[in-house]
Amino acid sequence: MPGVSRQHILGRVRDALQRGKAAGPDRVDHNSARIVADGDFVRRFTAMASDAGMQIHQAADASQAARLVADLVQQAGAHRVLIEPGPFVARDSIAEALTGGDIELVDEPSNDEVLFSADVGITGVHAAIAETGSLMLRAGPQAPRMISLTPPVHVALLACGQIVGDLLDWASSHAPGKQPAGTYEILITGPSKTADIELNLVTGVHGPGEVHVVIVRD
Amino acid sequence: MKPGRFGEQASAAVQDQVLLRALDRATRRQHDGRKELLAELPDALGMRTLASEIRERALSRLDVLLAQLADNIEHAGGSVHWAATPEQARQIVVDIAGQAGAKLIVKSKSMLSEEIELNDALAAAGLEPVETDLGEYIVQLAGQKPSHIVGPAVHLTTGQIARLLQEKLGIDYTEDPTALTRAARAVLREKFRAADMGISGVNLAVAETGALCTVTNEGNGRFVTSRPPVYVAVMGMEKVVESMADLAVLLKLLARSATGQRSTVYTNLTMGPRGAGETDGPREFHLVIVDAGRSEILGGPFWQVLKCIRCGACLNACPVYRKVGGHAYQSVYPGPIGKLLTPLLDSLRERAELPHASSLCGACFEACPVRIDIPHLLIRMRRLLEDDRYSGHLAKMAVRMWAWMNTSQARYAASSWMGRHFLDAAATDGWCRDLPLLAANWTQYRDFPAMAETPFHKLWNQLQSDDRSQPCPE
Repeated sequence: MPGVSRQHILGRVRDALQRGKAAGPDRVDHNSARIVADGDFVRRFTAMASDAGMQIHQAADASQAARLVADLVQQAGAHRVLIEPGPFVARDSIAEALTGGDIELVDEPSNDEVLFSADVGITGVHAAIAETGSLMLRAGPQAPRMISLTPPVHVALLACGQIVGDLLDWASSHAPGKQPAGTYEILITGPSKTADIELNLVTGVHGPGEVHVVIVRD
Repeated sequence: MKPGRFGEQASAAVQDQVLLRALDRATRRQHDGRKELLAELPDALGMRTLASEIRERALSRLDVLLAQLADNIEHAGGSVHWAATPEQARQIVVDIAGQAGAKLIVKSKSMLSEEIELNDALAAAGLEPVETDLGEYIVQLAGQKPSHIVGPAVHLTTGQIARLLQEKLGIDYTEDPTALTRAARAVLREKFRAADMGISGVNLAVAETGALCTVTNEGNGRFVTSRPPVYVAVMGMEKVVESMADLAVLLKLLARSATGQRSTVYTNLTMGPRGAGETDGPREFHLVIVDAGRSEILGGPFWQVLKCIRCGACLNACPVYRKVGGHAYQSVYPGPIGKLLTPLLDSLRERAELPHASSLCGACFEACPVRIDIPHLLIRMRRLLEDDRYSGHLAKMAVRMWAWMNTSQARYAASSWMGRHFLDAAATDGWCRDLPLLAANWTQYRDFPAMAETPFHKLWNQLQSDDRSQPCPE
């Protein structure tokens, strides 16, 4: 490969630091940036996620969640539905509710055609953040990256207890010693958006134009 | 990139009524959005100060953090490449593409890739780079350069975009933004599907976890980092922070400052190639760490410009940018931060006009989420340039004369008496609009205030002797 060695570049940086004046404090106190410390996380999450353009639904238990998801799938006029292999809250009930009938439920797209023509993608989440109303998804063998991205409608299932308060809480879940984060993680805060044409808001640019979050109480 | 005459470009730009309207709307909306959302924070100034400290601390330990970042990425199965110059960076990316046999390359918005002119190099190597951010795609189709760090196409109207997409994509003419977006989406979907390689920039990298963070609202960044079998991230070496908590604080400010959102829609963290058992994600993962002048800046008097997180808030706040737009700067980095970055990265002498193209009003400093004191750095840069320009005998004599005139009260009073009579004669309604000789250089572009009826030192003496006057508050 062209380019230079790591040692060469790091040496240049070290020289610059020695002759220059770049300086910073010995430590920083991140807690002063905390926005959400306590309170009703479900309420804050709902308010912020709605404000970002996501549609929030509440379900008392798994079977109610499954009925809700089945309704959403029907409203979307969906034929082909991708579902994350899982496990996630209410997954079994949802799979059961969508089986039979004329919907093709796919948990491992066999080819690109299936992946790119799906109408709805259903996933769990790894966590959610009340401060910003964000969903956090982590990729893994049971959680491919594309299910929440290619279909025009994304339905995310979230258990109440998965909501943390602040982005700083999300950050500390990555601290050394915690469960490794894997290879990919995404925070989703709203439907895919652009304002590139004279600041007109258009949704569903490259990702889903509709994001539904079903919060399961139980 | 040709060094341009900012003055000429700016004069032409302010005559363009269409551009003015587009700019005014875009910058005003984003500026207002930023102010509204910052006001929500319990202590916005405190948070900006913290963000500034985080960036300063990271830069002061840049060698350690870069090494840690590289170790973590290599540990996760990624490759790290080091480029001292733009040429090296371009060649590294072209070679990665060559070895992977890639042809179609999808890109998400990257200021660094504009800076190192990566697309030209890829095209010259027979590859097809496609920009996938809608604004950037539009600009690429038009054969132009982005005019704003965050909104590359803010200078174009819907009508101009409609004609462009009609011509380039063969769609029916429509001014409906949704229909235009759908048309672009359909084309770009196929590109994502077929792409051999993805290239993105890096908004911030976290040393402690080896995570590369990119933020997009459209979702193109997700496709670019996840879909093609080969992923290449190009990063300016200053973009690294220490911890995830550092990242969290900067993310809180980035979206608020850039677009007036609490959070960007997609905050993407990539930490290596796909893991064992995963069914998607890139098989090859490359990070190209680019110096291209940054270590030079780090060792000099302008190191603080490296704190910049590219939110674009200073552009939206700047009375000059608002009127002339991004293209007048003839640089990848326009606006206040560009007036510092461009001469530093490009050439201080050839771009010497840029640090002068500012009224030093301070709106940029006020807007900056990491509190880069742009006005003071501009003055510092001017001083550096003036040291050169005014080192002749005549200039030295003029300064000595001025000093002689102003270091004695009697001489000062005499000179201001003369000045007052001269200016009063030239002024109407308190303003001189057309002064002769050397002073014409000033009044050609702006008015000069007439001097006050009573000079300050007389007023001061009057106040001192006036019994009823209050002492100045401490």
